[in-house]
Amino acid sequence: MRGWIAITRRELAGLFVGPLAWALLFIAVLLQGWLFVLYLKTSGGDVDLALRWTLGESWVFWALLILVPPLLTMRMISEESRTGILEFLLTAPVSDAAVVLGKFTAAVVFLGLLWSTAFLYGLAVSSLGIAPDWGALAGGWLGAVLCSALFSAIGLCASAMTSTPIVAAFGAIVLNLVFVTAPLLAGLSDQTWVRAAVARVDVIDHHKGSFLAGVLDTSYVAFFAAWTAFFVFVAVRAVEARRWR
Amino acid sequence: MALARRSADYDWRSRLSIGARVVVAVVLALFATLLVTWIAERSELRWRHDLTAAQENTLNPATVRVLREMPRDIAVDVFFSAPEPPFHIVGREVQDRMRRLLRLAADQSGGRVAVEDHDLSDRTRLSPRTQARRQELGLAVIEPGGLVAVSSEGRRHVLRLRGDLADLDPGNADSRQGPVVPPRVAGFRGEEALLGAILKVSEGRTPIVVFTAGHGELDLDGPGERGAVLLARELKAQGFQVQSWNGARGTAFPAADIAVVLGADQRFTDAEFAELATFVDRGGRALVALGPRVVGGESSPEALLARFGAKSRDSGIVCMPMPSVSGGLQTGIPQCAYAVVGFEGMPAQNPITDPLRTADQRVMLFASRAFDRVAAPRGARVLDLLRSAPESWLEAPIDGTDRYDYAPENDTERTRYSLAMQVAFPPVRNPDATLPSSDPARAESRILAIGSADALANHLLVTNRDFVVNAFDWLASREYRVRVESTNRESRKLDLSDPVPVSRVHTVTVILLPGLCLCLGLLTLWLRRRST
Repeated sequence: MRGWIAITRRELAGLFVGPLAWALLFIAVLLQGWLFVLYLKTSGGDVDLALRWTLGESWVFWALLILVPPLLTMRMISEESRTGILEFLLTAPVSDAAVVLGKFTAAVVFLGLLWSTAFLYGLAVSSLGIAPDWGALAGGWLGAVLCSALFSAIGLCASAMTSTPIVAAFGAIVLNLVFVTAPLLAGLSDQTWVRAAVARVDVIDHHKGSFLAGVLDTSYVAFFAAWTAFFVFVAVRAVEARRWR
Repeated sequence: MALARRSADYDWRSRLSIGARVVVAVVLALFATLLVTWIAERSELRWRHDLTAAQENTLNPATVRVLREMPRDIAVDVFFSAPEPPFHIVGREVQDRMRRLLRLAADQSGGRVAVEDHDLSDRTRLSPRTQARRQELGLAVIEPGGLVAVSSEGRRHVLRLRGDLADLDPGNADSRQGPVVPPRVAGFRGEEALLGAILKVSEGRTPIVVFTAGHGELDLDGPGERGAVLLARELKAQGFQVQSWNGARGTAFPAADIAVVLGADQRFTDAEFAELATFVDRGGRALVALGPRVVGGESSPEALLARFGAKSRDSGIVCMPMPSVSGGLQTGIPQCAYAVVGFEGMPAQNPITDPLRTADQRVMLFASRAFDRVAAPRGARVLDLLRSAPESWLEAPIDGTDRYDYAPENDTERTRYSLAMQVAFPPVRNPDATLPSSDPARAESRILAIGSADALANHLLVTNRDFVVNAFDWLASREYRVRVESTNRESRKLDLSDPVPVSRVHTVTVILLPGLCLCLGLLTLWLRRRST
């Protein structure tokens, strides 16, 4: 546990000292802010709807989610493996799981921070006398964080499997795209079982159908937790595999 | 160094063995993931909490009970399309809320309600699946905004966006007619409508509809304009059992819930007439739609209706002036025989017409006869169900023919005529009489008199489908309106007409927050460079 926290701290510090995290944060916040105003205008000023669009109803959210976590996690293991830092880490008195979990937690905290700008948008409109539905907003934010956790785990998994960050990012983006677009492609199929099978891994539907609607449902939490745990597990195995390569 | 030393210790067998173990572990983890998600979906292990302030995601207890106890699985097909102005924004709001409601219902039902959302964004390239479902459900036309089809084992019920799912207020876009008011959702009734539809398609009862035959009635297998094959199909899709009865062959009137006389142009035999009249007297239900020609006589369809308080006029058909290309009203053309009845010609708070009024739907009749009220059975409630436009007149046939010139004389009376009447009265108790098939405790006899059999014929059924379905539901006492309070989301809207608040939000979200990130990033970069 102590190792996990130490790694998380180290990763967070590394993220916020480097320019990449700030550049990503700047681009994402600018885009989200601009779109929030746009959504407000197109929804006839509906604050709740505009916030929902910001946190998952629009394709821009999913585009950010496909791109940002891989860019954030691509260096976390592969770069350290290339530079040899990972070897020191793995020989330190921390488990492989703690190393992966620490990096994963740092990525999720960063993305959680990114999505929490929605609360600031809520505060901004609240100062004008129109308070949003804070409960629904919290639900949407939680869902966005859980989606980010899943995509970060995928990113880490890709990062653990290669020593080239750009390959890791590319692999993770492709995998994220598969996750997001599979249900859309399955929708074209006439086979009910294909659609039913793909619906079980439909990330967009699980986010929109529950958290974004303002519902906290253990089934949906378990969906994200289970798939995230799976990819984290694969990432830990991939790091362990480095020992015998 | 340590890793390199260790890896040198591994030969290819060890590597293969470790690799195999890793693969097995990953496969097991994948299996565990699927198992966990599957277990978590079990309704008995599920816990959910509605985070919204207005408890928008909490179903009414009545809905929960119905979902838990419904005897059959339900399929819900969502065919939402872009709503037309001025409802393009509020229509989307209703669609959004309905989708969320359907998700809740599907979750609550433990998989017994299957929701399928069809993409209608490009109507020229619908997926084969969407086309197949539309065909199966008999949805030839989908109006702007779209609809939701609830079906189960061949039965279906269609819920339209405007009228069934929500009441939409168009507001006022013309500043000359008072302050500008944007369109709004006056009331969201999605849960009530869904509940009613589920009850209807999942009920065990199959009401029997018996059509009289052998007197020139519309043919139930007829595919032509004046056939009634579409009506028969629609009734079966609505869960009715359709039969026909030809009393002239000497068979007794069968056990039935509803008797239908559809455009008979010959008299019944006295025995047939007596059977039909007794059936209604004893609590049966009947729909009698007249053809344009007067049959007349003591055992005619007109006499049957007159017995229950709706007397048809024998002097001709109801005609209306039709709008011409120049915008004026035109007479002297056959189209004048079409009587179009809008909300102003329908009573409010009526189970047949109320859904049509709220959805702004019209009923079209062709060569319709007019009705007057006459003495009705004791305790009867007689109501004009459809009334023509005030410029209507009664068009008499050209002497000695069945043809009309559709040109009213100057002194011809122009007024509203009753084109359909609804009669309900307490049945006459007689222990010896044959009771309707499925409901011996039926509380009232019900009659629906329609001036035009064509209103139910193939060429007008697509237009009049909702009217016809509502009429048969009323006749069969299938009024499943479980009252679920209409919900209105608390409006949290920024006034876009005032540029100041929008500008403030823009400043915070597009300038201040990104600017803060940029400044902090630059500061970090500067500090980092200084330290190195």
